[in-house]
Amino acid sequence: MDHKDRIDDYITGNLTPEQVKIFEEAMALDAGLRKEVNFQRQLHGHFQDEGRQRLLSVIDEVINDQSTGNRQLGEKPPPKFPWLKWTGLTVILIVATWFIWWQSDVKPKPVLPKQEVGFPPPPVPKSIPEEVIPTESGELRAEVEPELEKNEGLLAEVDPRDFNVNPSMESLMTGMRGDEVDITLEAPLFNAKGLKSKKGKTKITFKGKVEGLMGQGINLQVFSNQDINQPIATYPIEILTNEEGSTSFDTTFRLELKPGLYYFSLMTSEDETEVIIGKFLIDKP
Amino acid sequence: MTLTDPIAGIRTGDRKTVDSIWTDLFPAVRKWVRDCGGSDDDAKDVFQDALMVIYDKAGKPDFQLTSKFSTYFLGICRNLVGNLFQKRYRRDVTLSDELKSIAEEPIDYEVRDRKKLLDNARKQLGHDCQRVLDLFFQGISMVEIAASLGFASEGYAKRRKHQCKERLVDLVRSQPGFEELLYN
Repeated sequence: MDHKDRIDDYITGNLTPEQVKIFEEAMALDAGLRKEVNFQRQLHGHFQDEGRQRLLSVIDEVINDQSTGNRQLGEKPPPKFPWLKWTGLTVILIVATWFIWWQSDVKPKPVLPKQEVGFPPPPVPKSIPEEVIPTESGELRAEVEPELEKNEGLLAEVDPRDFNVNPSMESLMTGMRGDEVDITLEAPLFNAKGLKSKKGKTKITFKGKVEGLMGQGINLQVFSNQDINQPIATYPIEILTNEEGSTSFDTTFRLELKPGLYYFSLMTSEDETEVIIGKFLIDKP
Repeated sequence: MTLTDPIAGIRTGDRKTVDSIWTDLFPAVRKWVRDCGGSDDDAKDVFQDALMVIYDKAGKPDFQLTSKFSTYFLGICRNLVGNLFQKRYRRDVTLSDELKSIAEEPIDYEVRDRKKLLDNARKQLGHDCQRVLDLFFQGISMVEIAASLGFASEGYAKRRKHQCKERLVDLVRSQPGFEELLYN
């Protein structure tokens, strides 16, 4: 590991005495490293002052709020066309009235009992029932059908909230790649859409090449769009090694999921490092 | 509004204190800045800088407020206004009689500039990165950061921290005056 990668650990006291000794010997020989450590110390010293960051954000809030208030008190010049404001308000009022009337005419949606909104997390299968089937290219791949609790009665119900994007998960999707493990995902496509369910089950293939696993496996975690903290399902993915030693995976799941937007994460099985995050959309029936 | 202890309010980031200082003292600051040919945004900068300078001074063990808070605050502002326009016009500015009547409070501009540079860089980070780095610099463990921010794993929190810190360092290095303020 490069000494520069250890500066944070050195400053925060997270190196062993032996590592500190090696680091300080390197600093004694390298003026550039000393300079960088000094710079990083200033960053730590400045930003660990929590009160300062709090005060800055309070000042920002006050300036923004008060500035808006000042304008309302008459600092902003009066509008050139005051009649335009009233015309606009009248139009908005008419449109809003029409919209409320139109909404009230729509057949009310049946209210689902609470347990039907979510999806019970299936257990990680201890052994994967596997059926090896040839692909179009003639290679072999595993087809996995995890044993899930049956929820077929729920699958026809569609809740519009199940299709909303989750901003937190969307932000995690940017730039997600493991430091050591590298996955090239061929399927599903990034932001896969148009997946259809048949008899309540959706067939989805995870296929790609993987490097740097060092004997670990990969787990697939599936998250609903409304709760990214707790996966609704976790499945192991079988790693295939060819004669040249390259590793890949090509596993098809039949997931019992109702229509909606789902996020998935492929993570290493032992150190649970996320390598890739994506999403897929199961269409309404 | 009269505050019982505005210095303590500033140190703790108390919203009511800042509101009150704004209401009572910002109009005077704005007038001075306008008199010198500056904008309302300049006045807001001076207001913010003054509070941050007081925050830093008040954090020193030997700090003592020897005058009324309003006099002290305006003394800091007078110094900041003079400095702002001296830099902008590259000559001494003529201060109004009202401004001259305020006793100027000393400011260590090297410290002020260094801290401002770092604060400006942080402001340019996205909200997510600010939250990750705030927790990291406060010494919160990666496991706790992951739990607190809803990240799926410690590994992701580590990578996110690494990305955000790299971005922060790039932003700091792109600020004018970085070399002389932070790399000496």
